Amino acid sequence: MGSPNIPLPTVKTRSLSCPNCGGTIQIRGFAHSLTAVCQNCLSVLDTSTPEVSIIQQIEAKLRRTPKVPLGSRGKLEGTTYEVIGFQTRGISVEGVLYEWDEYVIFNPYKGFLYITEYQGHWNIVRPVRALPQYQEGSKPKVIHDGRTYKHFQNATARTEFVLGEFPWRLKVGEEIKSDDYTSPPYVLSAETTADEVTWSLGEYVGGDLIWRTFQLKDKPPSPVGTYVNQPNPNAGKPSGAFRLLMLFLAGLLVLTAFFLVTARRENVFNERHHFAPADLGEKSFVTPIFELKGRTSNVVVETKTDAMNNWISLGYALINADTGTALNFAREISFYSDGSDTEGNRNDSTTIPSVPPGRYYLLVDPEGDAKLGSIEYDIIVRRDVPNVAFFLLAAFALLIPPLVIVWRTYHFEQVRWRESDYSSGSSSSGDDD
Amino acid sequence: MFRYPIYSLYAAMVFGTLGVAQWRGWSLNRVNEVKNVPRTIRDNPGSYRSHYGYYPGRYFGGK
Repeated sequence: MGSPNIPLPTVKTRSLSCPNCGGTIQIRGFAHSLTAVCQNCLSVLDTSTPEVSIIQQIEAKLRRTPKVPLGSRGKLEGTTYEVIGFQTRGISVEGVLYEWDEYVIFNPYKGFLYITEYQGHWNIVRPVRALPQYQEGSKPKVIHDGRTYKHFQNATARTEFVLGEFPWRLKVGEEIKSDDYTSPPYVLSAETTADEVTWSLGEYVGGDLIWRTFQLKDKPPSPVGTYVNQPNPNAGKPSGAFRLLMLFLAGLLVLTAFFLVTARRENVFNERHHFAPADLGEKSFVTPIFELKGRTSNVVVETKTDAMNNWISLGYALINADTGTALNFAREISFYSDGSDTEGNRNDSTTIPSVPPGRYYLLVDPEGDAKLGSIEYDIIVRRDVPNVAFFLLAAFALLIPPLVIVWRTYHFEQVRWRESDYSSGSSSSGDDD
Repeated sequence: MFRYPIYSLYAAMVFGTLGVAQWRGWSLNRVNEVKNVPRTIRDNPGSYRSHYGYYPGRYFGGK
């Protein structure tokens, strides 16, 4: 907490002359910088003593270009930091080398922070002072600052390239054992060397923040894949979506109740008929005219028979007596029983959609098997009957989005944990809401 | 609800479709519609049935 009235003293950097090429090396990290790399000849220098010595000569072919150039300055959380160091590290998994970049950023009053980048995924990393609490298990966990982190990956990271300054002794080829524990958007990393374990806490940030901070040109590279601590864009959404689903289902119940209560279910026609297939003569007939009132609505035609080990086929036509428009449909009704098992149904119901009001009659054309005897049947016509299937379809339709959200959440975690040491048991990915 | 605008819009469409379906009496069944069925045999000389038509599986109509 600095007072705005007291100006901070001007800080001057020191310069070194590269013992290899004579080039000038700016030391921005002051006495904190223990290693510096000449940008001209890629000599790794030990700057911890006044007598600067060459530790290593990096091959020119290993040179990488930092996405955030050394010397870039920008404000992070109100503090101006300068990029002073850059290294590329890599791990080899099943013969495949995965590389990421690390930047050292420095403020003379606040010290060091680190920025990492892997395939467009950026993290701002801070050293952790307190030792996290370790929990053994099939998937070990650590607790830090009240937050639980799940073990993600153990690997041996190798330094592939270095440039600029570092507050520790470093050279290409150096290896450390690294353990990552994730709790998006954070990742807790333990780096183990022969003599110490260093913990650091990374927080996932968008590349656009880095670009804005250091005023870089163009756009940051788009992230590829899912990163260890990348926040799940659907985290927390499934529970919210299911809460909303409950609300919608309640609304659906109200709507259902409204239509069930207000539907007229008007019985407009009811007539009993006898059908004897063996009889000679015309079997088809027309019913008396009946009136369908009200708005355009459905018409339910029910057929109730006394069929027993028998069948009847009914060709129906609902004909508007005024316009001559006919709506044709056919029904097959059969019922068989041997005393224990039954097959078929004696009764049938069919819904004719959107029938305008008017005067109608039915043309009925029955058919049957003359050897199987006669059948008595009732024809019942009802108007404006609520269709329960639509309510069930609506409930199912409302369920689809929450299921999609759950799948997307789960899939995101699956992709994340596929890259971990626990990829075969990706079901243990857990919810990182 | 505001956190899920697409889902809310989708649900509104489901409710709207359901309301229209119930109000207009939609059905999953399909019937074959025939226009201008002859009303009497006088409108349809040569036939003794009142209209020609087809429904699945069977033909019924004039002879």
